[in-house]
Amino acid sequence: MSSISFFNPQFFFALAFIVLIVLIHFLKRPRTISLNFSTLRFFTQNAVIQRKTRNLRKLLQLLTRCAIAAVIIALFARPFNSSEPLNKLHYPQTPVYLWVDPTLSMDYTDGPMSIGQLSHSIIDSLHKLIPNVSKLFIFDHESRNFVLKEKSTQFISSHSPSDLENALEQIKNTNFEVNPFLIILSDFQVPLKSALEKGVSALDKRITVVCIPVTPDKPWNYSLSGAEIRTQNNITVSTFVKAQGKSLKKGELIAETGRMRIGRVQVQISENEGKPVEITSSFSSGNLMGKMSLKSQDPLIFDNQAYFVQQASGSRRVVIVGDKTRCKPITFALNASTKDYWGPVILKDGTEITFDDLDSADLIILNELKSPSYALNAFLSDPATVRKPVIFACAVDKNEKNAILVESLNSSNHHTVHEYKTPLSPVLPDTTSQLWQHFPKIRSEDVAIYRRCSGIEGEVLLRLTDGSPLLIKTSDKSGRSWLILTTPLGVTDANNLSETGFFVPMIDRICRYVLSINKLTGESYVAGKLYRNPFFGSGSDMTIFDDQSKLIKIVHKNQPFFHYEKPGIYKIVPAGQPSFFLAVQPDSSESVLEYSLPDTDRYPNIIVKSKENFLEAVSNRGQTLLNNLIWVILASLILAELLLWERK
Amino acid sequence: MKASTLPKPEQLAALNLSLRAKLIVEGMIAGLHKSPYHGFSAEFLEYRPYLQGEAARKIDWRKFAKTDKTVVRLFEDETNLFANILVDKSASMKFTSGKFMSRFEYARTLAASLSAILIKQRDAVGLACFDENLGAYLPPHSTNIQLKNIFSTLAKLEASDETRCGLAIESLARRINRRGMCIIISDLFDDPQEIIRSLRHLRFKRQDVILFWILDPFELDFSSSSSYQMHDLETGRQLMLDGKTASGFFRDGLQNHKKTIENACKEMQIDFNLICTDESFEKALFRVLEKRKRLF
Repeated sequence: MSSISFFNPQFFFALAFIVLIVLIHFLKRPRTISLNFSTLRFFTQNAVIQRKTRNLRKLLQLLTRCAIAAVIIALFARPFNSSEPLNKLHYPQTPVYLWVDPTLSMDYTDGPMSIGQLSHSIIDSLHKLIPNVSKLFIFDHESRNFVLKEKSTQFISSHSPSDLENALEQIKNTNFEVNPFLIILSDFQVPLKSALEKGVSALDKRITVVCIPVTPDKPWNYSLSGAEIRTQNNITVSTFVKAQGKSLKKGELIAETGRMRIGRVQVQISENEGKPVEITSSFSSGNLMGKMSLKSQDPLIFDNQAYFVQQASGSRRVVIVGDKTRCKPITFALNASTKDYWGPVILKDGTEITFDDLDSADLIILNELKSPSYALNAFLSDPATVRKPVIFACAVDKNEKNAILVESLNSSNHHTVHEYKTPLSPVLPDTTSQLWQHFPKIRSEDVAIYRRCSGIEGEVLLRLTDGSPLLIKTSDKSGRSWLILTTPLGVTDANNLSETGFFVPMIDRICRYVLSINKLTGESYVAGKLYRNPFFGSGSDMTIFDDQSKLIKIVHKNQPFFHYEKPGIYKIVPAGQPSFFLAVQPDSSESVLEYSLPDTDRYPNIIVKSKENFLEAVSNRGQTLLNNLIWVILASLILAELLLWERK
Repeated sequence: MKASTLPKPEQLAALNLSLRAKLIVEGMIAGLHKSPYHGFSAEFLEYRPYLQGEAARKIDWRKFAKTDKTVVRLFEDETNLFANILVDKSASMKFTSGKFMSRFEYARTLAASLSAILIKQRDAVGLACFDENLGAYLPPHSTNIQLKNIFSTLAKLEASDETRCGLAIESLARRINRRGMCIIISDLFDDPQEIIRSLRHLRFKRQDVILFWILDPFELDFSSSSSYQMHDLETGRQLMLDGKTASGFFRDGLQNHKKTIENACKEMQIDFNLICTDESFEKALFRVLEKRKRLF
């Protein structure tokens, strides 16, 4: 049922003007004069009827004038159908906040303009339709503030993730006199839904959130992801090509290193399928880094390139926690493994560990932990706070119960120390898994394990010759995988691991493995996402150059996080340390053509309007039946007034 | 004609009737006409043959004795004109729009002035007043006493009752036996057909009729935006009308009324004069005298 409200109800004070009209009418009414007249013979009954008619006409004229005044006042008061919430957009005091999704997916162009630019054209149309421009604010993604929209705007996509949370937070922290509107223009990729719903649930329910999906009707896209380079006899560059929504019939995949094209291949992919594609080249170059490009006409082009660096290794910061003297062999082993792969390697006693150490670490090795610091205790009691990959080497002292391990892993088993009179040596359980593939030795007779901890549950990755576990993969409370060594590392009388050739590759392997299973191998950086400064707390500033050696930015040593603004090849130069290259990929999640609108049943202050319906709903305000009706009434009243007008 | 030196009617209102008449008449030229009628008087005019049926006393027997011819002697008549003035004294004649003389005052001043000027010319003047019926009637005489009587009668008149103009004229017509002139001063607010019928009767009685229709300037130019509570002076009937309706209906009604009577008068060769109470009497009298001059 429709109901009428007014934008400017204060105009109804002007209804007092009607009293003035009535007053003027009665003041101007001719006075009645008593007249002794010669004859009334000429005044027939018609005259009396005419007088009555004239009086009635004057009364009608008065009513008409009052009605005209009332209708004009009503027009000034600007009535609207309050059952249509978008009509409130025309209320002069209504603040309207606009947020346009700045993510790469808004670059989708399957027509004359991208959906991002379409969003801005919708905003420009809205700007014209809403008369009071002083209340129209648009979210500026650079300053992360709402700014007054004054002129036509252009869409500029950003590799940064969606900043809707910031926008919602700002609106939440603003006091409003009049209930505002938040208009969200986006393609509503799946991740936005949860962010929006979460943000809206915290908002004041008086804030109307209008979602205008500019989602393409039949989305399709070709994309590359995960470019890698391998060098053996030849250079092999591989990537994963995916075709969504439409088959790729004739795509050309080109591999480049530096600025040199090293190969190309024709690609055909069926609809909604993907496959890895390799380009092999005999070309040898010093710069084994570059990009793969897919030459095809598709709506999203940012994901048609994937970057690769052969040694795509940023510095991997390892924090070793344990007795400094006894743990030194671990440090040496990591430094001696793949050149410059691990680093910096920090060795600290358990009591010295700070939150910064834990926060900046890529990998934490806890060796024979006995007296943890407050920060380490906090981390172990709730690993979810700082989700880090951990290698835990158990203590095997007779009285040590590894209580910390029990607490962190939430294990109910009693850990007992098992001692061997005849030492045992480790045996690889397989040679094909990611962990042990191409490992130098299947069994090492040199290694002698005298004591080990038992009673730890999990997947056994390395066994002793009697079949008992030496390396176990298990999960902590937060679901993160830990690797548990049932015997200590470093200088210990429980084993002679650090004295054997088995030690260095084993440490390197299990460190790489724990990073990989926790998806923090560091092989892929994504533009726009925040990353921890690997040199935070190490005393080194990090200078970032692009592949043309142009300075991009300097990340200071006390700056915990940074991000890469664009995908590409970057040269990282840590102060006092060797430089290295890394590949920053475009955010592949922006290529996913899956959209989901917010749940309007659950969040009643969210309105979802198609772009056509939105503009129609806003622009049709003047054309609504209500307004037409008022104009018709006014015209009728004016016509009636003209008909009732008595010519002199 | 010289420009009038007479005061305006409203200026005369304060004077008594005889003084008003004197003031008006003194400025007028007496005897603008010569009587066409012949009668018995001292001055011989001529002989004419006796006609069969005439009274035998009219025969000049002395001449018959001398010439053996029956002839009749004709003398120049001294009392040239027998005029009857008929004054409407109905209540409607009391109407005045305020600053002008009332119709009734105007009518009797005009009647007195006409009487004075006619008697001064040695015409016989009679007076009749009417409202619903024919009231006091003074038969025509040309003496000064008659004039005094007329003044006295007119002075005593009071306007009252309804108009039955037609009936009154009929009554007068029945009384008149001699050829002459009949001057009717009235607002004629009666059934026009009755008026016309009575005027025909007068004409049948060989009366040259002069009709003075006296109206107030307000009636002639009745346009107002005011609202009126109207009281009929004759019937006492009341009517509530707005100015526009009243003026519209009155203007149309008056126009039709005038048209009907004026056309009938034209047909009957009656001198129809619309006199407004703001017009000077001199002007009205001259109009009469000028027309009389044409007639005789």
